[in-house]
Formats: sequence, C-alpha cells, structure tokens
Amino acid sequence: MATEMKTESEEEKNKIDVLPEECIANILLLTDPVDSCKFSIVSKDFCSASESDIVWEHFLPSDLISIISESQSGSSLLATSPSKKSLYLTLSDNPIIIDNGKKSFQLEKQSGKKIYMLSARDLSITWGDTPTYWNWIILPESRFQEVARLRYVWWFEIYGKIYGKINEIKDTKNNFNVLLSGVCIKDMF
Amino acid sequence: MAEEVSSQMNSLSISETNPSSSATISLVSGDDIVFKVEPTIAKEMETVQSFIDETDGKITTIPLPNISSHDLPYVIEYCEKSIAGKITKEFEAEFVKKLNNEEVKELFLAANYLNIKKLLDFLSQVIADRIANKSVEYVRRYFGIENDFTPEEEAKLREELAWTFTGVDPDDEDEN
Repeated sequence: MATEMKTESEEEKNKIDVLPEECIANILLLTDPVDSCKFSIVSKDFCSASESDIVWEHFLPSDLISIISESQSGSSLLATSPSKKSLYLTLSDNPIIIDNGKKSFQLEKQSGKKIYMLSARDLSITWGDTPTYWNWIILPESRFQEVARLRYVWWFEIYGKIYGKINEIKDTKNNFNVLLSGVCIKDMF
Repeated sequence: MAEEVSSQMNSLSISETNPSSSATISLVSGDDIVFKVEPTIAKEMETVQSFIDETDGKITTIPLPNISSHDLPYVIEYCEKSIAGKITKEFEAEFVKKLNNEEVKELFLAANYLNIKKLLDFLSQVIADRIANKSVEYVRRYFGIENDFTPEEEAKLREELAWTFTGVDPDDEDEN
C-alpha cells in the first residue's frame, strides 16, 4: 500500500515546489491593489493569479452593486466588464455618474477606497438661484452637466451633505472620501 | 479497596478520552521519520483524513513524502493547538517568530498539500505581510521563482504597471 502511495506522490513531488495559482491568489488578496498588480510581473503564474476574480472581488466595495447599478453607465459597466480586475481599474480611472447626475463615484486606485464627488446641483448654495450672484454654466472639463459660477456676492455660503452607513464611516479600511465639485470661482474678478 | 476502584475509574476515563492506542495514526515524513499522532490531529489534515476514510480506517500509516521531518512537527503543533482551541494571536506570533522565510514557504506548501485550511489561511497572511510593498525581485527570491517572461514581455508589463512602482520598500540587498 505504501508503495502505491509513493508512485502517486512522485508526481506530486514535482508539483509541490510550485505554488498553485489559487494559493498565490489567496496571498495576493491579503496584500493591496498596488501589490496585486505589481506582483503580476513576478512570473506567469503570478500574472494569472493577479487576474483572478477572487483577488479583485476582495478589493471592490461589498456594496458596489447597490451604489452604481441604478446609474446607466454603472449598470452597463457591470454588465460588460470582462473581469473584476478590469471593473476595479475602470472604476478607479473613470468616475461613474450616479444619483441622477448629482454625484460621481470612483475608487481610489491605490487603496480601493470609495470616492464620492458632489456636483454643484447637489449642494445648497445660498442665493444659488439668483442670477445676479450665481449662474449655471456648462464647462466641458467638468464631469457634471452644470457648474455653478459665482458672479458677485456679499456673502458666501455653501453646504454639502452626504449620507453614509455609520459602520462604514467608522471602518477605516472601508473609509470614503467626499469631494465637492462644480463650483467655479476662479474667474470671478 | 477504595483506591483500587478509583484507579480503575481512572484508567476507564483515560481510555474514554483516548479511544485506543491502536488507532494512533503514523505519519511518515519524506525522510522516513515516523510521527505518531492522535486521530483527531489527522482529522485536521484533510488529505490524510480522506486517505484514512477511503481505506475504511484500515490503513493507519500514511507516507507524506513531500513533507520533511523538519516541517512536520510544526504542522502537528499547529493542529494540536487548533483542536485545543488555543490558536491565539500570541501563539501565532510566537509560532511564526521561529520560522525563517524558507520555512514559512515550506510550511505553506505542506499546509496546502495536507489541506489544513486554518494553517493555510494563517500562513497566507504571514507571507502577505512579509512581501507587502516589496519589489518584484524580492518576491521572486522569496519564493525561489524563475522569471519566465521574455525581456520584452517584462518591459511591456513594467510600462503598463509603472503606477505601482512608487514607494516600494528597498530590498536591503545590493542590487540594481
């Protein structure tokens, strides 16, 4: 019986020094997105492990679908991404417009943290609807449809508000950044 | 008289927790050293347990040619702690302190071969911590991996992945 095991295990012996791809993937997902990409240069086995969905599933936010699936570009991205890695990289390079054009969402490439940007239309701008003080313009370089341009003002007040789950805000790994955008004051004077 | 009874009781209770010495499993390392372990330990090693199950428990000597007598005691120690429910952060920190990089890799391969999920998860984390933020060359040396890309393929990948090369920890070895 022992000899039977041996012949079988001789084949194994050649294999044992090689790290199985699944094991490499399980190590990579415990590093971070930067290392997981970088280490694809180590060898071809590492390269294919770093493409695997289990690694990138881990780096994508767990509530990603609920965040982007309601937006048109978000749902088409979900449907067309060939892999979780490609989904991750696309989301970190190209913000998705969500919430009826009022916010954008993307991932911080290095860490996978969520980044929300609020458009000017999503902010409370005091006197925002008074053309003497503010007007709404289209800026080609803005990701949002409209930008608030400050014309003249005696006092200046802008509020932005975003809701997050309390455990998400407390969880530093899953932290998110909020940016305000679309308020143009550079050519006021 | 009372003493006799109690000693009998003792031996009874021992034989209950320790089913029978004949059920001990012998694990034979690649360099032919026999390690006798309790069946509960074997249960932690899925590969061993499924071999025992396949032979209806008739075979109790299991050759493990891929695992050396140097590594096997570590594996057994971890399994014993695991059964006793004594895997703590402190134990794991002490356990890993004893191991150099080569031993971690050997144990990782052994855990994978024996299919011991807890040990595998633990060592995956240890390795991830040790290679985090290191260079590609460091990881190749760590695992003893040959670079199987052509220089052109590697150059192309490096160009695509240039954004991942900022702030990599130095290798603390003299190398370009």
